[in-house]
Amino acid sequence: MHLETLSLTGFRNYRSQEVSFAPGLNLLSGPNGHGKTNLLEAIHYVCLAHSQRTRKDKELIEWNGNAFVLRLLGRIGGLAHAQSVEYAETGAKRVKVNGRESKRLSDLIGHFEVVSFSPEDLDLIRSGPQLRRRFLDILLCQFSLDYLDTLRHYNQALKQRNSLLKQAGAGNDVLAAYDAPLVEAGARITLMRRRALADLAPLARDCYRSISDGGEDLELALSGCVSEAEEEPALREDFHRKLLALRGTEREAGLTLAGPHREDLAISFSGKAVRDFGSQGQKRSVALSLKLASARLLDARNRRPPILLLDDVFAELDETRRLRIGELIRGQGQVFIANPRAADLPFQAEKIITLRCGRVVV
Amino acid sequence: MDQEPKEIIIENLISQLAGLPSIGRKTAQRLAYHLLAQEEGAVQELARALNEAKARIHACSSCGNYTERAVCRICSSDRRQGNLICVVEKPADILAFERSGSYPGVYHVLGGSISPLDGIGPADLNFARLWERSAAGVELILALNTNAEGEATASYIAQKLHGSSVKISRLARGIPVGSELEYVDELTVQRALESRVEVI
Repeated sequence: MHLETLSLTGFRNYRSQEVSFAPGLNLLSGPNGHGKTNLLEAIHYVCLAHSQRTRKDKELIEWNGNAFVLRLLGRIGGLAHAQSVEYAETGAKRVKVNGRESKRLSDLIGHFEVVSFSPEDLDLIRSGPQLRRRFLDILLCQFSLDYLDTLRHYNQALKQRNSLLKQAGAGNDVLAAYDAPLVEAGARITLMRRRALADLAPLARDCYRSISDGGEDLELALSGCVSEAEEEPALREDFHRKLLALRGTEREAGLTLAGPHREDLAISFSGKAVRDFGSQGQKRSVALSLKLASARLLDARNRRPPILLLDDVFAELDETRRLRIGELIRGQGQVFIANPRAADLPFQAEKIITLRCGRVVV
Repeated sequence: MDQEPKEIIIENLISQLAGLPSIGRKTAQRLAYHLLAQEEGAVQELARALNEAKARIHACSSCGNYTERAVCRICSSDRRQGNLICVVEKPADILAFERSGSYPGVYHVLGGSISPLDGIGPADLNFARLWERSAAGVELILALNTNAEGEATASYIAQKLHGSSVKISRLARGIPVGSELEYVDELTVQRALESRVEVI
């Protein structure tokens, strides 16, 4: 699986540019502010239907422009694969995957698996639960279409139910009717997240151990679940019971107060939350371990290494960590590294793409 | 330079046609030119058919399907099992069952699904008549969409009829008949696997 060409129109500082890639290691070089990160962002967006830097898709449109288009050509299992996305200022979007049109951005997901690393990943540890849920969701969606579909279902039921809770005259019977799809999809999501975490946790622990040269035992767990039940029917029952108990409170709040949308990924060293007790350096290593572990998990689940996007990560790392990433990358799939200086790299790039003001310098 | 005046009448015809579902601008133009090339009688016949359909077709007083009679041909047929009722969201869904030619029962059209975001509550749907029809000995087959709204609506019906003697079932999900397994998408295969049935 690898990307061959990407054409960018009206995206960030790219007016109109086609870039071709090598199947192995691609180095994006050039001064800061000339489009290295933007190119990584475009790859991320066209593969995963969202940017790793912003939740506002409008920000991705070129200054003074009114739409952007990304067209990607690549190979999956030896076969040519094309996918593209158009996004207009009005919010209108058009997705095409191998010629088949769709209005759903999420149809882009599940073809090219991608893991991105950037200095902002530290927020995964520092900020609120939303980013950590998103991290889990993106990971799971990339190896399970079932998860993507169930999550879509859950979010729709949640939106409907919240709108109901905000209507003063809404009857308990209609609310109860919306408990059904919420509970059904919610129980599946919690179980799928928990199972994925059971696989991710040992990988993350190993990664952290080698990055930090021994050190603490990194633990991952899903917290804030409606129950600890391990079977779907029991979990559904517990979820439903919880909703019934929360009826009054939910009506006051105008919000659904229990379910996967309130869960969190708990990250700790022997029971102590890394967020509260970890040093800056430890947090950085934990964030890196989470990403390295998810790349390994995707590799194991899909039996092919994911595409790696590395934004400016080498400059901040010491020698041990650089080598550690180098080890992961060597002999793996396609990698994109944005780095101002080629000298920081612990290995040789197959292709160097030099960027100046949103153009490839030949 | 002055702009050339627009051809308002033909423009209006094209935009009316383009407002129909799955008709794009180009198809609308082709249809408009086709109509203009027709004999006057043929076009009047089309206009008359449209007006008549709109004026005389209404909801069946029993099931809610479109009909020109008081009770539609399916509900009034004596070859149909009146105690087997397939509940659908819209009249077009009935066509799928009728094409199969093997469904022995009757239908009930709800007119949509419960969707608070769109302001559609139970009072906006054809439930009153469904409760009337749900007498003892009746089986309801819920053939609603598999999205959150369809599931909530199914759950609403099940809840309301809970404790009654009405039997309620819903359609199975699985591999489309006649399709080769290798071309069925992985999600459908997975769901079909989960709802597998015992052979021995």
